[in-house]
Amino acid sequence: MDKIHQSIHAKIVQLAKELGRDARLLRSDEEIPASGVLDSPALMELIVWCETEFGIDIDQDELTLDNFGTVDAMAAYFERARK
Amino acid sequence: MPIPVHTPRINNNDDFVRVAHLYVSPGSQVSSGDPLADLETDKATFTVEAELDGYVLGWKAQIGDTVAVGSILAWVGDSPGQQPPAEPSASTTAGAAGEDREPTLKAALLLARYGLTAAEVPAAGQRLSASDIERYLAGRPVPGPKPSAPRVDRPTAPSEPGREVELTRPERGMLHTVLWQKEAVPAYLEIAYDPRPWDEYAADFQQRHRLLISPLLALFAWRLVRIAAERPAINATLTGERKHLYDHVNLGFTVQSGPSLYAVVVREAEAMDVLDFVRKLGELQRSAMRGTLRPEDVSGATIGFSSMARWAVTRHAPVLLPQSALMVAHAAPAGGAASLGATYDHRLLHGADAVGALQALASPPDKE
Repeated sequence: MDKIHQSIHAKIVQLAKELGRDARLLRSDEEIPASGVLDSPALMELIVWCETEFGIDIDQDELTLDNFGTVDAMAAYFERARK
Repeated sequence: MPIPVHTPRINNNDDFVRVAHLYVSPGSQVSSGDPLADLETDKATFTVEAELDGYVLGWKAQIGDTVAVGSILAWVGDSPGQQPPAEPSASTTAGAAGEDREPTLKAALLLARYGLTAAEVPAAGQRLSASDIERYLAGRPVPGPKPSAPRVDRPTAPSEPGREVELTRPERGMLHTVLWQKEAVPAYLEIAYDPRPWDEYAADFQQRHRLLISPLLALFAWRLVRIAAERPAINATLTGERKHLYDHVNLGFTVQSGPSLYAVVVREAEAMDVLDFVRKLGELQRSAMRGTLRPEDVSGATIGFSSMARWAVTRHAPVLLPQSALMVAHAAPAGGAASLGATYDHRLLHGADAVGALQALASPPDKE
C-alpha cells in the first residue's frame, strides 16, 4: 500500500471511529458507501480533507462512485490529478 | 469640537450599567442614529445611538466595564484625527468653569434623567438647581430621554461569576434564527410514513447517476421545493397583516460542520432540475465544511429542511428559518417506521397546510 492509500485509509478509520464504527478491515477495493463505515456527511468530510491534503479542488460533478467509491479509486484519481 | 456621549440611565434604580457590546471602534465614521454601544443592567438592555454625524474618537470604557450613569462613554468629533479631551472641556462646563456644585434633589433627578453630570452644567448659585439644568438643556442639543423603550429581549445577567466571550459568526447566525421564533408563532406536528420507498428511490438515483454521496436528503429537499412551488402559501411569510408570497423557492438546509450549525440556501431552486439541485446542495455542504460559505449562501431562505437522522434522532421540532413559514423535520426511522415533522408559523399557516405538505413529501415522486 503506497503513501496515498495509507493516508486515505487512515483518515477513513479516524472518521469511522468518530461515528463509533471500525473501518480498519476496509479493503482498498471495497466500495465505501456500501460498506457502511462512513455516512454521507463523513464521506463529504473525507473529500474535503482530501482536497486539502492533496491540494486539489474537486468539482462536484467529479464526486462519483467511479472516482471516489473505493480507496483504490481515490488514490488513482489523486495520482492522475497530480500529473 | 468633540462632543461627549454620556452613559444614560436605563432603570430608575440602577446608577451603574455594564458595557455589553461596542458597535464601532475608535476612528469609525458614524451617522446620527447609528448604534454605538449596548449597555445593560440586570433588568434591561439599551442601545446608545449616535446623536449626530461624525467620528468616534475614543471609548472611555470597554466591553465588560461597569460605568456610572452620566459618565462620559465616548467622544464623537468632526474628523477622525481629533483628540478627545481627557476631561470635560471648559466649554461644556461653561459658566461655573467646571466646578462640581452639589445638586439639589430635583436637579439630581434631572441629571440622571438626561445622562448629565453636575460638572457639565453651570450653576447660578451655591448649589446646582433644576432651573440651572433646564436652562442648560434649552441652550444646546443634549441627549434627552430616549423615545424608544429599552429592549428587554436580552436575558438578565447571570448572578454567578463567570467569563463572557463573543459569539462566533455561526453562533450569531443561529441566535438570529432562533430569535425569529419570538416574532413568529411556531407550531409543530408530524405524520408517520413508510421510509422504504424513499430509500429505494434514493438508492436507484444514486446508482443511475453514479453519485458518491447518498442523495436521499437532497431528494427530500428537492421534493419539498416542488411542493412549495405548487403551494405558494407554504413558501411565504407575514408582513404586518399581509402575506408575502415569495417569487422563488429558496431552500434552506441545515448543515452541521464541526461545532457550527449552518442553514445553507439553494436559491431559486424551483428553476433547477433535480440533478443540478442535488449538486448545488452538495457544493454548499462542502463549502460549509471548508468554512468558505458566502453571506448569500446562508441567507434568504423561504422554506426549510432539517434532518437529524445522522444522530439517530427519531423526532425533533426544528426552529423556523427567519422570514419563512415552514421547516420540515426529517428523522431516523425506528422499528421500520419513521416520522416527518413540520414546524410552521401559525400566524400564516394552519395545521392542514402543514399536514398537506408533509403528506405530499412522504412519498417520492413517480419520476424525476
